[in-house]
Amino acid sequence: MKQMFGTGAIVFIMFACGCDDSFSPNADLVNKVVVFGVLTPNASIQFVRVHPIVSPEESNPRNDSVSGTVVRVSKGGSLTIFRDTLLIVVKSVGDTVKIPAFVTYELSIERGARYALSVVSPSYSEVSAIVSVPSRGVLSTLGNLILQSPWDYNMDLDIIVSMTLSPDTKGFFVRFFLNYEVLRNGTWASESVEVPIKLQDSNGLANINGVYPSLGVRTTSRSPTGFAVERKGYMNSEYRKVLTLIYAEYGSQNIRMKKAVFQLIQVEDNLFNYYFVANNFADKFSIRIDQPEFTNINGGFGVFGAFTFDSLVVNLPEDLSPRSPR
Amino acid sequence: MRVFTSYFILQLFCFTTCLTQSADIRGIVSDSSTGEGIPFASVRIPLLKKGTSANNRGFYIITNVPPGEHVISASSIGFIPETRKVSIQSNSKLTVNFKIAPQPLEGAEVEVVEESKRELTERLSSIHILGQKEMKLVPVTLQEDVFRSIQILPGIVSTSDVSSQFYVRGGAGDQNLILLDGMRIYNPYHALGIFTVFDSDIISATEVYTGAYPPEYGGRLSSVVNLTTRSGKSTSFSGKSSVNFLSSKAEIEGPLGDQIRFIANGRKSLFNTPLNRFLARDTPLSFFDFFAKATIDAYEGQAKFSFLSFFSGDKLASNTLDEPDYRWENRSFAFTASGLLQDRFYVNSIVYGSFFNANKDVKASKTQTSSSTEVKEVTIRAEATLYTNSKDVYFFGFEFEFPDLTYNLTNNTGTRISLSSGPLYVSAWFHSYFELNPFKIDGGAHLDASSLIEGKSGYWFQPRITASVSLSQDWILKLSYGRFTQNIITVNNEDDLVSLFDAWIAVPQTLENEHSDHYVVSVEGSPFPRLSLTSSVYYKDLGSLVTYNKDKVTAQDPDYVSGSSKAYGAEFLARASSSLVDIYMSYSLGWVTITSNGANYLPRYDRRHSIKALSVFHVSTGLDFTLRWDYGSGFPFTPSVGKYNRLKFPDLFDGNFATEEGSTYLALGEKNSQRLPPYHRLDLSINYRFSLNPITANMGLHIINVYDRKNIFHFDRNTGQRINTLPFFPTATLSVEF
Repeated sequence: MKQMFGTGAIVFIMFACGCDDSFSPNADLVNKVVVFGVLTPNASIQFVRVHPIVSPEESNPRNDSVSGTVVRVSKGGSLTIFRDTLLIVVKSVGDTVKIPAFVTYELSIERGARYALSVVSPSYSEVSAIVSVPSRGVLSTLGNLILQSPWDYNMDLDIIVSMTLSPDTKGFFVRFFLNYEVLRNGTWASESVEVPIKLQDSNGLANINGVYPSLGVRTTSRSPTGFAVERKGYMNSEYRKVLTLIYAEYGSQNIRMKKAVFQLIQVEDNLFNYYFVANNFADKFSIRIDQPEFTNINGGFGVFGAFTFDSLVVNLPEDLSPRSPR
Repeated sequence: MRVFTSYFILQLFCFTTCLTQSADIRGIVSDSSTGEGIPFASVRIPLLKKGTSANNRGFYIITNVPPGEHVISASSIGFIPETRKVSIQSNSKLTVNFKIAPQPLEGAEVEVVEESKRELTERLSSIHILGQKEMKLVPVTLQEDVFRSIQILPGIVSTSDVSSQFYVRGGAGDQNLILLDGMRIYNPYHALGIFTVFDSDIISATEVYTGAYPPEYGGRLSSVVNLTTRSGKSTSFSGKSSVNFLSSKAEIEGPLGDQIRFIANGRKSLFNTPLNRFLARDTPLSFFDFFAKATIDAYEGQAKFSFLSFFSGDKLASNTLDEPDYRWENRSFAFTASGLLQDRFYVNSIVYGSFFNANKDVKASKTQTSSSTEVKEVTIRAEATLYTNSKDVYFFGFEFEFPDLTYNLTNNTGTRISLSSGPLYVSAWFHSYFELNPFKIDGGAHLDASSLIEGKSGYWFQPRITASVSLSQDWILKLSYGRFTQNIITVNNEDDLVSLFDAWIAVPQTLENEHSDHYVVSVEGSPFPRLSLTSSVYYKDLGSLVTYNKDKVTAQDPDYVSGSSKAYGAEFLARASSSLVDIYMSYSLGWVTITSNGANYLPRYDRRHSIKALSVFHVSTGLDFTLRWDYGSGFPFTPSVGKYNRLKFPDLFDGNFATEEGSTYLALGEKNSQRLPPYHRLDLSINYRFSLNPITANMGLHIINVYDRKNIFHFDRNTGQRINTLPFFPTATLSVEF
């Protein structure tokens, strides 16, 4: 009898051990906020967005506000407090989304300066971040003649743009815009079109399918005393193709060419890192297939970064209508 | 080190001067039923208190025997000891070959630790030697498996039921050196890693070194598994055939004339249904392996020449276009020669080619990328053992390794990348076993000449030493130290749950070779004749470890960076044996942390506590009842800590980010900061052996996870799906031998 009881007890214990241990991959919700702030001296208004993180068990996080939040950005001794507002996004007719954000018109972002972000709210720990805004980039081109007389030069020539970057810049790219005026109903209206690096095909000026420059890492030294110069080139052939599209769209009588504008976008380290990670870690040479993580918000998630625009303008003759190349 | 070198030279001098004045007895200890050499058999002259252990081919030599008549005996676990009376004259060499008869396993009282193995384990630390008997003790999972058997050893961790891959004392999966008769095997797994490509019937002995291993092994940081294959019967032809729920196998062996014998063994998958159930998903897998070996015995069996080949192949072809097809195969060829070159100079050499290739074809899958890998290795290796008048033994060797490594893949951006390297690795080693009262010392060094030439590492000189001292008649204290390097690694993500095949690459030129230092202190003893106890503490400092660069953002950032790791722990092992029951119990306590880019984390194979218990009840003649229980504390995992909408800034440089809604993003907590529930499982086996002349049959009933424990294998955070490891799972085996 005792043996039977003992055996039964062992069997019972064994099957009790076999019971399922409940498991959840979720830890307790972290008490952190999500902050997105991007400063740029090229805008008159600066935004910072602050949202709560939600439980991993919730299906869809919302871009809710965090009540009682105070957002401060300081530079040296000066402090700017952002005001909370609601941004209205019209998704379609009658369908709008309200996104809470913190804004200021009073903060003029200074190139080369260092800004500190502080976000304080009653229900979360304070989070902070620091960013250095890139100083002015210097652009120059030896392609003025090609820009002004594209039909007189070989189509395979490159319009070279050279630039000296800020030491705070990790990534950059250069965009090439053509500014022109179009005669509509008796008045001249300004328009602009971006010239791609490679124009693949198009269905009119509004539907250009091409390869456009994108953010890439700098290849030169970041020494503040260095004279390292980055160079990018646009082929005359692509420039000509865009001119041809413009003139085909409006007719040569209705076009006045105005300017070629090269726009240098400089991005500091934090924004660059976050941007690359959030946009699928696009390293062509990597043998890795996993995804890294990045945030520079101490005590939170998101990013606090900065970028700048600098431009080089080349005046163009009013008539650049296509003609047989020399 | 200088003292050690001086001693070494002095001993070598004594050896050469004393050589001509001694009488030696040498020979082969073999199985009388098969003619196979018995690895690590014990040979003794009891009255002289002299003795030795055979090497892994059954060869032994006892030097400096005084002239006269002596009684000499040979024994090994599972064999009936044999005693001979021999007469030896001064300055002579006497060959005494033993052919000892196997003892029926059931009802036979066996020693827990055989004398010869004890000698070897006295010399070295962290070594475990498993013969065929020990291998067959472990309950089978679908079918017998060498690596599943070694997982009963302390310090060895497997991350799941569905993988034979193992992690030793906090080392990564690619830090284990797998040798088959001296050939390096790069991917020794079948069927998603459920079992190995080596049929346990071809293995005569398995040496497992879990740390501080001797200088003849190099190129890996954590452990060595050295498998010695059988040579086939020299007495008669015989065959064996068996079938289980997954595969069938056939084996034939026998003599071809007086001096040649062969063995051929093949396995082929038969059914998929058990595997589908085993993995809880449709797994259209087929596999095969084939091993053939021909051995020429010359000079009274004291020289041996072998040709061997080994093939294995796996194909996992999915029925749907969205799931990739996998294929991988091994091909190995070798010529080995071993024997006495001079009176006391035993040489073992091998020339081999080991080839491995694998391919992942993603077909129409949009979520995965294609890859393939290939290893072509040709190696020449020679090692010599020099016996002396005293018990001192010297070991020397060198190796030229020509691996050709290729890895092709398509990465996240759709770019096809090909990495290839064809380095030459040259290494040499020496060590000596000698007594320096009160210590017995096995010390020497492994020289990694390639690292020296490349100027890549200051670790080209790798000292290794084990010193043992008797604390009492029954207890030994051992202190071990070893330094190791590794210059090829696998590129698999360390967080992968199941790795179908390993892609090997050379350590990137910009990084230091991986290196580690092992420190082991152990106490071993047999307080009772049928009980042996071993306890060890270890500290493993992996000063250089190649880890993923988790902070990589741009193409300029390297994929890999130098990290480091530290592992330490304690192990306890008890073995008891009687005619009725064999009991094996081990407990391991371990910690391992990896440091990479300034961050510390636990790797996913960090197991704090591990208990393994195995008991085999010899119920009656031919009937064994085996129970195995494993417990392991939970592995680390990275928890989810929240969700938020992550912005990707598609219009940022057009002046707008403030109104982007973002997309759902799961935020993870600190890497591997939480633990899965503990793992435990009870397996049961009933084996019945019977004879119907001339046939011997073995029927087995095996139940995996007797109490149907739900051990977690994987949890998909996105879908919430939990996948458990093996459920209650009965299988059966039948093998017939004639």
